[in-house]
Amino acid sequence: MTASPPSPDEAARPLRAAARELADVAVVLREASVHATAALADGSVLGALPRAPAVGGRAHRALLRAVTDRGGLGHAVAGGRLGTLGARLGGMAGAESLAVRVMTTSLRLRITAVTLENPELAEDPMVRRLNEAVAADRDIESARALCALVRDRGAARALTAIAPIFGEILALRALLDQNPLNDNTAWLIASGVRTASADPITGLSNRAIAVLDVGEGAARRADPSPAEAALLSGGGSLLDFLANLAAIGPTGRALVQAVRGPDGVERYVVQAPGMKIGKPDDESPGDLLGAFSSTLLDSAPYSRSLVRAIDDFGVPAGAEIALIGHSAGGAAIMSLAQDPAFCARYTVTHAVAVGSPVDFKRPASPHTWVASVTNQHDIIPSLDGQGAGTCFDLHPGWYVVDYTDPTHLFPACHSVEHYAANLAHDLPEARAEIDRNLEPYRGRVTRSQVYRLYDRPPYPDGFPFLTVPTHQVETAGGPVELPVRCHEGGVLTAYFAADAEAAAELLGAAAPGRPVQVGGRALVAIHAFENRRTSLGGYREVDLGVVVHDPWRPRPLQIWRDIFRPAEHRRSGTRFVDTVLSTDAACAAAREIWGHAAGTAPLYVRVGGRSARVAAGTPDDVIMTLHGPLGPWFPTMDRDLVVYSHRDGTALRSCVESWGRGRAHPLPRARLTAGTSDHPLARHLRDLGLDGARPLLCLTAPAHQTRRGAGVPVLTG
Amino acid sequence: MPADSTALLAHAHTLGADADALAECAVRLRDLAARLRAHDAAPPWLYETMNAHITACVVASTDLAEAAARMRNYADLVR
Repeated sequence: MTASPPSPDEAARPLRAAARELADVAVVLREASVHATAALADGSVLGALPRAPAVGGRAHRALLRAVTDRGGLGHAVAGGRLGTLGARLGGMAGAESLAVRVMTTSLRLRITAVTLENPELAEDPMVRRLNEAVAADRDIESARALCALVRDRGAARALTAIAPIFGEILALRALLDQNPLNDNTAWLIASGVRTASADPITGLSNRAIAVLDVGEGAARRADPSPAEAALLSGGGSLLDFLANLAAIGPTGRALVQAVRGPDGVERYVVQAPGMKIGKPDDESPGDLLGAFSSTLLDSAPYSRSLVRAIDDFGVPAGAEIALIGHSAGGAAIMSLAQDPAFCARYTVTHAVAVGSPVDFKRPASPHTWVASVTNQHDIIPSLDGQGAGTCFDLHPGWYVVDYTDPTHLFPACHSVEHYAANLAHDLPEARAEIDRNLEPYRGRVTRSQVYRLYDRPPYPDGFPFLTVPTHQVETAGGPVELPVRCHEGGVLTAYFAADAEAAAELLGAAAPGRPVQVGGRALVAIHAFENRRTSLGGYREVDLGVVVHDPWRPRPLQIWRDIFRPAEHRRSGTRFVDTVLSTDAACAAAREIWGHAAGTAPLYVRVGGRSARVAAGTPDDVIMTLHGPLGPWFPTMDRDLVVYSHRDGTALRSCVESWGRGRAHPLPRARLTAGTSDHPLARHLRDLGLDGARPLLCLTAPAHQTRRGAGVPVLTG
Repeated sequence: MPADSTALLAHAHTLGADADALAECAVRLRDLAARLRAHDAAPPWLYETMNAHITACVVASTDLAEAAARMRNYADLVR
């Protein structure tokens, strides 16, 4: 009878053990190098030379030989200032030490072991070419092999192909290249001592980036959308928790739930999703910077904000908590599990990290049951330096599921949905084991709360510009808080030269009624507001106004000086002639509070970008459009607007105060079209001769805040 | 005993211990190479590499032992 061949895992095991032993030997060699360098650089050794120059000189030469002998320790200057400098110079010259050579052999054995377990790595000629070039320290060939791989497969498939040996390839490259800055992090990856503290390609310190992520952490209750709420699970299994993480998604939020276990005891589950998609550094602790800091630091804003959420949820001291996290959320919950103060306050019974770089996290309590689930083709868990190829048993007490599946394209295989599907269909034993351990939490969810997490406590909404005293007035459209406050909005103002007589006729006899003129033509403005979030709800607004002089003392020669004054000192203004709004509530406020000739109509206003996109009316009944490129611009402050209007025969003056960055477009190429509609705005534009006109100047503010108080009656007589 | 001599002796002691540790490393590597030789999955390049490492460890151990001895002599003279 012949013995069956060993499984790939069994065949790889001795190679991993050998890699581990080689790494240990490399560490001993490096320590010896550090000691010899320290002796060589010691001032007292040099200082004693005059007392025994011949013997001292021989001792020095012996030391020098020990740290430079190519047949022995190699270029082994290491440790301390002199050692660091010498190592860097040696690294730049391509001189290697015996310690590095032995560590390189360890890494190559690790790659061999992973290749045995993932035969596709050996079968893939392009990966094999890269692997061989890296191991042979052929820089140009390595770069060519990587470029060929990316060109042939695309970045995602190339990363997927090398994911199981990603850390080893980076460490090998870093140990063997001529960049001395990445040697330390390569050593950390290869020796498994600590988390990789720098980018293994450039040597740029990850810790330096991580410490930029500052803040005490904060959490505010946030209601999930109805669709999200419907997806939140009421059960307490691993798949339920992963479904919850998928439901709230990587949006900078977290979920805390109370669960009544089978024994009737209420326990708590904290669920932390992965990195927030969007800006690398915003107010969320789960952004890219937060993912770095959660992985590298013991305590970071993400974990601190989770503590705030747990506090707010009212988890009693001593209560049992299970922590579940995906990706950066897994690193954050492990930071909580290793925080002695947190663990003294609560009983952290379980920590489950899915697709997370948590190899160097250690729970503070030996009673915390830890599970780590990682797909070998997911690069994210290996960002701390240890991936599928690791030869170190970094956490013997953990339940580790490190698997590979046939559909493992990165980054798709990193998603929580993919992990949930793998656990549901491909890893039933692992799922059952984790669920068995989570048994105390398998009960009815009695309370759920989603939290939005912040690096630091957020400002009150609208602070400081919109935190002003308010009062309420009644209108036909319902109560309106004044000033009307727009938290998120944009505006486009287009100035035109219009027929002066038509403008004067439009204003009539009522004051202020003298139009400002430019070259004998009246200055007329179209204001298009995209008010995305206001105290009146979201709405859009288009106004036609004529720029008018100081109602009391028109000064045509000094008008420009007045126009550029701050609004509180400005006497000239814009008299609104027509106002079109998209909602009834905003229309009622415009009519009843400011006395505008306002009506509702379908409006499209898009502010931002390089072109104007404004349309009022329907395709069958077009009131006006303002479309086209806005041309070059220069930055300016968003300008306050002084508005004159009439209500019940009284002239009112009001201000639209703005806060935001603006742009001035001195050469706009957009064109205004007056529709054929019988709407007053269309009619007035035609009367003013503006159909087909191009603006003289456009001002835009894509993101601003505004507030508009009640109109103040002004005496004009 | 003057401070210089104490420092020299400390270095000599450390270097001597490191020389022993490296000799032990050479033995470990030799055992490892022997174990891997019986393993089918071991890559063919491994044996030559291991032999080079073993030789280098022995040479490095000798270098350090000599440095330790010379440092000890040096310490005796400056005492």
